[in-house]
Amino acid sequence: MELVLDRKLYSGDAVDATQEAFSPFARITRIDEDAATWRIRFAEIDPEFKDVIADEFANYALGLTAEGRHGS
Amino acid sequence: MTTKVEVQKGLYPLEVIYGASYQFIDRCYVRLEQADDGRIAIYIKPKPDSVVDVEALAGEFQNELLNQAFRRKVAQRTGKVRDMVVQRALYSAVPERSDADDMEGDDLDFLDDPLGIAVPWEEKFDGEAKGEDEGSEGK
Repeated sequence: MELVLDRKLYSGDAVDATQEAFSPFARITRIDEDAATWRIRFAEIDPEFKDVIADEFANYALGLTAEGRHGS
Repeated sequence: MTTKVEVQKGLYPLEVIYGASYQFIDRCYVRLEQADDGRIAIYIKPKPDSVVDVEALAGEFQNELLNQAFRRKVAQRTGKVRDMVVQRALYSAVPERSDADDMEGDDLDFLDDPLGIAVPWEEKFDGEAKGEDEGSEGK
């Protein structure tokens, strides 16, 4: 399973923090091949979160990015 | 089911889009994507077990974009006044200099009590009162 996030819209720090926060639920790898996007690969996903992990990851990263821009 | 809202970046700055998105991420999945023509696409999907009308969500999101844009405008206009008010409030919380601070370096001879003001009345006049009583008894 893979998630693609635009680098101009999601901050790298936020993606890193999200990767750490979600590490208990899956093996998460960030692939930096593309200069325009963050590619997040999920493996060994906890079955309980299989259907939602990509969406939840994107939400979490967006929340952290928004908080960072607002200085909180 | 997912709905999409597209906005022109020049019309709604990124901070506004983030602010609006932040209001929705507790009940929806929100994903941002950059379009080629300077527009940003916002994909909104209700969370599982949610019974929200997706089209209503899109309308709410557009309203929230306006709300955030207005708040940003007001914040920009009132920034200086707000800073002044905060500065004043903080300054008024600073304690004033006490009288003890003002006494440093002043003449402190008054502590010697040259006029005997600090002497209790009984101590000052008791001896005189005893003397009068003795005189009246002798008559």
